[in-house]
Formats: sequence, C-alpha cells, structure tokens
Amino acid sequence: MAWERIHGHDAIRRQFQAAFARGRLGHAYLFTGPSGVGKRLFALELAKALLCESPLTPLTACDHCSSCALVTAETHPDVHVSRKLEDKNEYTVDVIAEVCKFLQLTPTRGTRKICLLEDGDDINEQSANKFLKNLEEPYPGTTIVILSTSADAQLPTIRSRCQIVPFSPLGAEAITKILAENEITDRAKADRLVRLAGGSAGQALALSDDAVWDFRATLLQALGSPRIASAPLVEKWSEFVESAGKESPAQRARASVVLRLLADLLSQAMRLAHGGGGDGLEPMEAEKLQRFADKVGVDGLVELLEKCVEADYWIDRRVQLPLLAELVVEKISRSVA
Amino acid sequence: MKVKCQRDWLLTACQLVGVAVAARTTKPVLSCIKAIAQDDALFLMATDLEIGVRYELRGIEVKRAGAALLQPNKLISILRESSDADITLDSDENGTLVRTSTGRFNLPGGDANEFPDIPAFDDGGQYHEINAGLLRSMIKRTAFAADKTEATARWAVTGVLWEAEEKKARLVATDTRRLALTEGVADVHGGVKDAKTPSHLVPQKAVQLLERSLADDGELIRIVLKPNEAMFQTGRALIHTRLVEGRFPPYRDIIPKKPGVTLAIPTAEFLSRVRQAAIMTDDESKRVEFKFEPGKLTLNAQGGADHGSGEVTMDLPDYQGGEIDIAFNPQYLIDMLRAVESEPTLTLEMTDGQKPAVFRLGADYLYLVMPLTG
Amino acid sequence: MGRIELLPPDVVTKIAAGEVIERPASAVKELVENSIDAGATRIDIDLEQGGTELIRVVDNGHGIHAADLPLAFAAHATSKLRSADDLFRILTKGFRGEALASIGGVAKVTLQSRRAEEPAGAEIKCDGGIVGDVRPWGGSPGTRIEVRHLFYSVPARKKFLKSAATEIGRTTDIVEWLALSHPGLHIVLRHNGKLVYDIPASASFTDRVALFFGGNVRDGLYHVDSGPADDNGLRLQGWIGDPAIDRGNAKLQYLFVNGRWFRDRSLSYAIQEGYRNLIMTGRHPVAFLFLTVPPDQVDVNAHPTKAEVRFRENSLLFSLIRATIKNRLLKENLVPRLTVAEQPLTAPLPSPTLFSPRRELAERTLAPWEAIPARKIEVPPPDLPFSYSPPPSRTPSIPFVAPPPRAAEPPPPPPVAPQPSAPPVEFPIPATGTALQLHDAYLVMETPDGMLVIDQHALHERILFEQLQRRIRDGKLEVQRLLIPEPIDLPANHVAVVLEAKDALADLGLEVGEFGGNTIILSSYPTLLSRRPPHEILQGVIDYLVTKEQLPPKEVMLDHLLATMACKAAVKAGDPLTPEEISHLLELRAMAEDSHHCPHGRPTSLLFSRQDLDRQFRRI
Repeated sequence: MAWERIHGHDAIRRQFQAAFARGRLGHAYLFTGPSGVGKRLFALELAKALLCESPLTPLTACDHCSSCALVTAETHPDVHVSRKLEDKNEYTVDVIAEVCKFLQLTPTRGTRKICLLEDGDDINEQSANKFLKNLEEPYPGTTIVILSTSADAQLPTIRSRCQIVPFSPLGAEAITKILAENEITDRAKADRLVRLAGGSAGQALALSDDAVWDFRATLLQALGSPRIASAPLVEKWSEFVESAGKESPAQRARASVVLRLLADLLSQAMRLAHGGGGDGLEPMEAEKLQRFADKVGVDGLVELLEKCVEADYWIDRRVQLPLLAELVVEKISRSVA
Repeated sequence: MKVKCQRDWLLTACQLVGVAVAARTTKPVLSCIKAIAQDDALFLMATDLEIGVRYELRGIEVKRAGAALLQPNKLISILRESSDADITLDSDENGTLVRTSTGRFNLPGGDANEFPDIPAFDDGGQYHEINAGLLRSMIKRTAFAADKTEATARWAVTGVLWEAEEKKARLVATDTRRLALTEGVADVHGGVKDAKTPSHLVPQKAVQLLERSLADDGELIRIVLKPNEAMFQTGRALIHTRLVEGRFPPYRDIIPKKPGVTLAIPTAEFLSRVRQAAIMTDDESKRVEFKFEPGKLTLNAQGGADHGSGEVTMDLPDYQGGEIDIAFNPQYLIDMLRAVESEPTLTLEMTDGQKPAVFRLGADYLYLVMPLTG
Repeated sequence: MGRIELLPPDVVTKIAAGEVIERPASAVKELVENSIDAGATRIDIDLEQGGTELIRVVDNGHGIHAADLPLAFAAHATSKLRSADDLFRILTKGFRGEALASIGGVAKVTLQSRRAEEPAGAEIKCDGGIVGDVRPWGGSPGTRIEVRHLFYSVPARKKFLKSAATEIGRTTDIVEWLALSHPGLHIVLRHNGKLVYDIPASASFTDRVALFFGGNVRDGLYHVDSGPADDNGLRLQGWIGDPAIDRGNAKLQYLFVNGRWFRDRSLSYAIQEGYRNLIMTGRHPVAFLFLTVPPDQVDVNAHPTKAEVRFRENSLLFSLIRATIKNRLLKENLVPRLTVAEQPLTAPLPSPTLFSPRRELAERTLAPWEAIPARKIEVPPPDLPFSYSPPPSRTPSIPFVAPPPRAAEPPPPPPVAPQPSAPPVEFPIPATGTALQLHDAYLVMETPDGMLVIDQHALHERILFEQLQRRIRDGKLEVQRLLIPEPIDLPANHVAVVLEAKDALADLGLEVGEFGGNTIILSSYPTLLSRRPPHEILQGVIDYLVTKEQLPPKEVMLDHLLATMACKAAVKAGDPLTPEEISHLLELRAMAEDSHHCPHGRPTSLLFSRQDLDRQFRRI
C-alpha cells in the first residue's frame, strides 16, 4: 500500500522524496488545502515513511515492520499527533504543552520524530507563543507538520516559520478511486458524489450516507410543492443535522453537507431555468426542480444560492444550527410565495 | 501465547511494570501491559511513550510462545485475590484467559503489534555502575531542585544532568533559582566519553521512578547513557527513558570560588528553625530574613500588618565571623535540608545578601541558593 | 516637480525652531519621504549599528538635477515649497527643506543622483555642513544617499541615543507605517547586513495589512468612506476592524492625514466611541483611517518630527470619525444586537412582521465577541464600597431593581440579561451554604432576598487581586534573584521598549540587561508573582508598555500586573468546581473589599430578587 493509498498528490510526494534524497527535508511544514483532500493521511504516510525500519525505496514505508504498525496505530513513541480537545474551539495551552514536551524529548526508536498538529486553524496566539521557539529551531531530526485549510488562517508567526505545501482539491478520478476503496462502486452514485463533493473525498464520503439522499428527497419534495410550509421543513432539517451525532463538530459537518445538497439542487434548477438539461437528474426530480425554477425565477435562485453561501460562512462562525436552517428555509418559502 | 508461572512472581512483576502505564491516554493500547513469552521467559513491559519499564521473568513454563496485551488493574486484582501457587495465562487475538484453580477470567486484549516494545538492556560496552544505596541518596539530594513547573523558558532544566567521569558519577539539577550537585563513586566501564558529547538530561519523572524502584541497598545499578536515551538496569526491572533535548546551563561558572565567610551548621537544628520561621510567611511572599552575628543566628519572618510576624533564634557558638544579613525563600532551604537531614552538619558559605549562598556536605554535595532582595 | 529652490526667509521663520533630526529613525523617515516624493517605487534602506554608523537609502525615483545638488544641502532649500502660503497647503510629505541640510550638518553625507533621462549622474559630499564639489557619478537612475557617522560633529546629541536595538526598533516602526500608507512601494530594510523587512509592492492596502498583521485582520476589515469631501473639505476613508478582531492595545490603530501618519489621542478616542458598546473596556478596535483635510486646515508643523499634527477644527474630525464608524457598523447589524439591553424593557417587542432572519440571526448569534453579555454596558463607577452590614447613614439597601412589567404579552421575552446597568446594591450573603454551578461558569445560590448569580472567574479574580494588592500595601516588594539569568528573545522593537524602561522594571523587581542582538537577559523577578514563570511576567509588562507612549508610574504598572496575574491565576469559565471549592470561594467572597466588580470593572454577581421572580412568573 504505502503511498498508493494517497490519491491525487503524487507531485507533492515526489517533492518530499526529492528533498529527502538530497538530505534537505525541512523541519516544519504547513499543509494547506480544503478539508477532506487527504492532508492528514499524507502526513501520517510521510511519518511512516520517515520512520520505517526497512523502507522499500527511499521514503516509502514497507507497511510490515513494527514501526509502520505503530505509526498506523498512532502509538509510535516518536510520532505525536495533536488535536484540540473535542469540546474546545481552540488549542488549549495544556494540549500545546504536550506538544512542547514531545519536541523537547529525544526520539526513542531512531533519530527522527514527527509532530502532527491536526487543527492548525485553531491555534491561538497564546498557544502559538508557547511553541514558536520549537517551531523555529527544533532539535535535529524533528519534522513538524501543521494542517490548515489556508495559509491565511495561520498566525503570521507560524506561517513564516513553515514551508507551505498546498494541497489541491482532488480530481474526479482520485475521488472515484477513494469511493471504490470505501466500497462505493455504483457508477451513478459515485458520479453524483464526485459532482457534489467539490474535490473533497471527505465530503464525498459524508454524502454517501443513504440518510443524506433521503433528506435530499425531502428537500426536493419541498421545493417541488406549490407552497412551502417553513416550520416543518426547518424541523426536518434540524432533526437531520442533529442525527449526525451529539458533538457539535459532527453536526456542523452535517449542516455543511445539507447546504451543499441544497446548493446543488439550486444550481440544477438554474440550469433548467436556462433551458439546459439536469445533470444526472431523474425525470421526476427534474420536473420538480423545473416547477421550482419557474416560480422563483433566475434572480430568486441567485439570491437563494447567496443565502446558502452566507449560511455556510456562519457555520464556521459557530452560529446555532437551527437558526441557519430557519434563515435559509424562510428565504425559500418567501421566494416561492 | 500460553504460560504457566508462579502467581506471586507475576504479581510483583505486574506491580513494578504497572507504574509506567500511561495514566491518561487517548490510546487504549497504552493503558495495557504487553507480555511476550519466549523460550523460558516472560517479558512484561509498559510505557507512556516517555518512560518504559521492562521486566523479565525467567524459568517460566512457556507452552506457546507469543505476545499479548494485558489490562494491569484487573490482572493485578485477580492475582492478589487468588492464593494459588501457579496460574496460567492463555492469550489469543480475542483476549486472555486467566486460569486459577478456582476461577477463569476472560480479559479483553488488543493487537500487541500496536504496542511499542521496550528494548532489552544493551550496554554497548559503555556503562557505569552505582551502588543502589548511594544512588538513592544522590537522587534524593538533587532531583527536587529540577524545574517542575516549567517556571523558566529553558526546558533543559526540567531534566537532571547525569554525567559519568573516571570513577565517579555526577547529578546536577536546577530550576535557575537554586542548584543541587552531587557526586558519587561509580564503576565506569568502557571508558569515559569526551567532553564534547552532549550532556544527558534525564527527565525528572524517570529519575523519580528509578529512585522508587531501588530496593536492596547493596545491589549494583547499571546505567547506560546513549545520545537519545538512558537505561537503568536494577535487580528488578529495566527502566528506559528518552532524554530532554537542549543544553544544560554552564553550572560550573556560577559556583562562587571565594566565599566571604564559612561556617558549620547543625543540620537538624537549622531545619527546625527554618521551619518555625516559615510559619509566618504566606503563599504570596515566602521570605525569611537571616541575620548571622558572632555566636548566633536570628531568623525573621515578617508578614504584612494582618499577617503577623515571627522571630526565631539559634546559637552558633563557633561562629566568629562578621555580621551578614541575607533573605531566602524558606522552602528552598527546607527542600534541601530534608534531603540531607541524616547528616549532622553542613558547611555554609556566604559573601553578602546579594550573592548566592552555598551549602556543602564534604566534597560530594553542593547546594547553591539565590537570596531574595528588595 | 523637481528643481530645488531656496525657501524665502519668511518661510524659514515660520518653520518651528525645533531640530528635525533627533535620531537615526528621523533621518530615515526624512530620506524615505523624499524618495517617495521623488516618485520612487522601490526603496532600499541599509542601516548599521542602529543607523549611527551608516544609513543608506537608495531609490529609483526621478533623481536630482546635477546643478541642483549643492542646493540640496543649503538650509531651507526645498523643491516643493515656494512661499509661506505653501506651508498651509502641504500635500507632499518632505515639506521641510531643512531635512537634508540638517542631516548634512551633523554627519558625513554622500548624495548621488541621476535623472533617468540623463546619460550620467552626479554626486556631492557634505561633511559636517561643509559641502564639497559636484562630481560625475555613473550609477543607475534614482538617488542614493549615504549618511555615515550621524552626530559625529555633535557628540552631545549622540549621547542621547539609545542602544542600537532601540534605534532600529524605532526605524522599523517608521518603515511599517510608511509601507502601510504606500502599498505600491517595494521597501527593503537591512540592519548590519541582515534582512529585517522585504516588503514587496502590494496590489492594495489590505494586502499590506495581511502582510503585517495577518490574514485574519485583513478579513475582518470593513471599508469605510464618509463620501465626497463635505463643506469643510473633510473626508474619511479607510478600513475598520470587526469587533471580533479587537486587540488588547491600540497599536493597530493607524491614523493618516493627507498620507502622513500621525498620532492623536482625541481622535483615537473618537474611534473608541464609534465602537461604543461593541467592544469591552480595555479592548481596542482595529482601524486604519486616512483623513483628507484641506492643507490649510491642518498644521503639520506642530511637532518637529511631525508625529503630532494640529487641526483647525478638531471637533469636526472627531464627529466625522465617530459617525462614520458608527454608521458603518450599524450596517453590519452589530449594534442593535448589543444595545438591545439598553432599550427600556417596557418598549414593545419588535413586531413579528418585521422579522428579518439576518437581524434575528445577528441578535442571537454566538459570535466570538458574544462572550460579552450585555453587562459590559457601562455601569456608573462602582464607588460604593461593599460591606456586609450597611452603614446606618445610608438609605436602606433595596433589592435589585426589578424591570417594570412588560407591556407586550407573549411571545415570551428573549433571554435578556437582567438590567445590567443598575447600580451595585448590597445584599447579604449567606455565610455558608453552597451554590449550584451552571455551565461550569456561573454559581447560583439562594439568598434571603432572591437568587444570586455569580461569575466564578470574575469573583475569584477580584479576590486574588485584592490579596495581591494588600501584600504590596503592607510591605516592600520582595525579589527573587535568579542563579542562572534567563535569556529572552524578543522582537527588536520590544527589546527597545524593555531596555528603555530598565530602571522602572528594576523597581518592579524585574532586572533586565542587554545580551546582544534581540536577546535580553532577565535576572530577577518579584516573588509576589511567582505563580507565573518570570519570562511570562516580563512579557505581560512588555505587552502593556508597548501600548503606552510614556512610562506609566510604578503603581499603575504594578496594579496592571496584579490584575493580569489575578486574571491568569483565577478559575476560568469552563472549570468545573467541587462543592468544597465552591464553598471556599464563597467564603473568600465575604472577605473581599469590593466583591461586586472584577479588577477590570465588570460585575461579579447579579441578584434576581424574589419580587422580580414573582413578577416574571405573574404571581403578583
């Protein structure tokens, strides 16, 4: 397996291998890119390759030695994976203290150690100050990888100390492969997921849940009906979002999926309004959307799409999710009326 | 893996190894003990990824070689409650069956490959040996001075500096306000590394674990210092630790060379006086003023208006030097005095109220403490 | 523009008598402004030893005519100003003809320049005011000025210079604001051969902001524009920050008038006023404001280094800034949400037909600044000392003022914080007993008069603050010296601040010294603050000092330190407390002098009177 399980980032892998071969591996990397494109997997694969006891080729893990097994299990003493506490919005100082401690102790199994900070977007200034010194001049053999959705989201003090490695959204081929690895082989379904995923395998997998498609049918049903009663739809929406789990991150991810579904339906409606055909729509679905498009008009659709974008922005700002459902549904029901 | 072994041996071993089990961990595997059976031995190991402990039980009846993960708390309770001479452990991928004469206990297991092994002792030809009794006192007299609270920007001082020279070993610890240094006889094998090798900073936690696992005063402890790790082989277990990175401050430079006055201090009496004086200090300001005059010492603790004050005196019949006023955080003295309580007298060297004071115990122990001013 | 002319004598007399060049940073500022006026798009600045050894400014501007070179060093020559009236219409920055002359008078200056259209350039030297001959020079187009041994001829002035670290710190500040106000400019600053700044030309001002202060500041900016110049010729443009990106100090407030950076306390206050109720006391909004003021309405001569300017109509500017900011923020729907508690509670609830999802959302959003509940609305100064038995002379204490009954009937009111602006009132506290902890942040307890809600952090902070203060009042400040002094790396400008405040810091028990480069060495700390590592104590003081123009008195610094200390050491919102801890906290509360407000002035507890509860539930 090794690198083969990382899809769509061959160029980055080659860069790392070249740097490794020349002995010029950096000490701190900032992996940037949308969530769900494989930054974390890549970082762990990199850690595995760096620590592998019998690499197949330089910087390629064998996946058989005990070191590889430990990295995969996240129990390798020389790999520290750090993430913010589940109930916190930011890295707390004590979590960062663990990171500092790891960076301040020698590696045990060899001469390298790797530290991975998964929630790089949520490092606040106070926490950053705690480990800036380590980030700037870590001890020899240290590789620090920080995952982040964008270099801009980073404090300048962190950004300037890291080499930035941009991860692009995945192509259709890569996502199809990943879906296949997750046993989603139905061609039509896979295509639909790829189209909706926006280059994020994580998002594609989140969308693959049958419950998501049931909810999409609910949305479609509502859009196709002559009058939209907002209260029941808001309730269904919220119920669906809450069914993702008790934790707020799961619910927010689900809310984002819902908006993506809705935005997709709206764009399909837009196509139909312009006389185009639906992309992968069932005839019944197309009919409902056509009716909706006729009623709302192109300007209305644009406004609704904007509302979706706005709501998506608010998700990140941790607005209460039922409010967002109300915000969007209210807008829909008014544009129909 | 299937083994039959003596119950009380196994119990002792599990308890010893258990101290290294990670207290809080997000990785369930690390809350287990790993057992490996092979030939006639059972190896038990535990780690929190910083410190690892490994224990070897020899003369075991190994019916099937292999490895297993064991939950220490449950296993220890089973072993403790049973009164059998021997018990059997039978593990497969689903878990471990513990069999006593009267019971069968199924312990859940895990994938032993996910547990990092603690390597066996390997001295690489370079090691030193210290008598356990001596080592215990060396640790006791220094480790307390290491920085526990990360109260400085220097991480290096959270570790205890461990150096081996010809025929002796040296431990140094400081939190940048005080410093403790001790030397002891060591049997050094394989030559001494040259001065250029990086210093070995053993995490305080490892040193304390080592102190606790020293049993018999007479036994010899073997110590190996490698660039990235240190190993301590006691009669009972192998302690394996990573080191603190970084450079220890150049401690030799700060030891005052020419003291103004030197006097002998009766240890127990001095400790009791400092403790008494400390009663009237509080959390925010721990300050006791010491006035040395010919023939006596007066200790003063001055709280605020609503905090009261205290004065304690002590005769120093042999002191004929000049008057010296100096103030200390009493805790810094108490920590040290308690570690050397068994010694009848200490030598104290001072210059004035601004410069560090030095307590010495012969040539083997030195404790430097910075006074309070203001 | 271009030919240098001597200023007529009447202009000379109008220029303030003060010296322009007081330190290397002011020389750099004059030279760089000259370069900007000369249309340069790239400026390279090289300094050695903080600029005392060498200042070199190389630009690619339009250069000086060979024939004009000697004039450049003549006192009060400028190619920009022709008569006294011009002084009142200054639109270029280097209006003071004497800048180059002043530098030339106190240093060894080599001026080399070539106009792009000429085949070759020329150079001239000026050594302590003695101007040499013009010689040909073969450099590339633009101007290159080297100032060596600044103040060598006036050793007295050299004495007033601070360390190289201080001086370079001031220069970086100046380069920073020049770069901000000229986004199109590529500026490179080196010190002792080491690169300090390489600021590429940016497409826009906001890119510059992102470069200096990070993307989150840029993304939190709203553009403001007061519109075309009003009757008084005033216009305000610029960017202001979302309250969410507010700061602990006012460093991120930059004011420019006609492109020139300046400081003005009253206008800073106007900014603060614009954010009234949106930002907590002690926090400062981010703002980059560019004022356009008719040249004759502003006196930039007020201060020799031009950091302060004088406006003819200060009050007009004040209201312009306040109103522009306020209106802009209103558009963001931030204001109604946060002032909602200020409305009299008898006012009818917004009618449901006016429902605006956005507004509704805004009102209920849990955005980061939402952590400031309505209670941050200014309360009358809490000057009523707390005591558990009210002094007899005072009117009997009344229970918490209950809001009058609502006019509007259901729907039930949104969860509005109870009348936060009511003056603190005394209420007896049960000496013992325990309280219920809510959300790991608030303690709720029954009192004879009703129900008391306590902010656990604010209360504990207050208690600790008083304990610390009492210590200080009682005795002297005890200092623990370090056996091994601690080296601390700081940004260059912070090193400067620290070294300058060296004596004052020593009074606080923080002994600092230079270690070389950007490292200082800390060799003692006050034991009172021993709960925090010494380097963090020092950092706390530095963060505070950089916000001050003058060194605050020792007591003020100490109080600030104590408040910060108390804040750090106190239990936080989110800390679960055991019943024992809760009762301990309540016991301490009884002993506090002012248990009603935390050191930052926020209330620590709110009382809901029995009567109030009864009324809300319509029992009476």
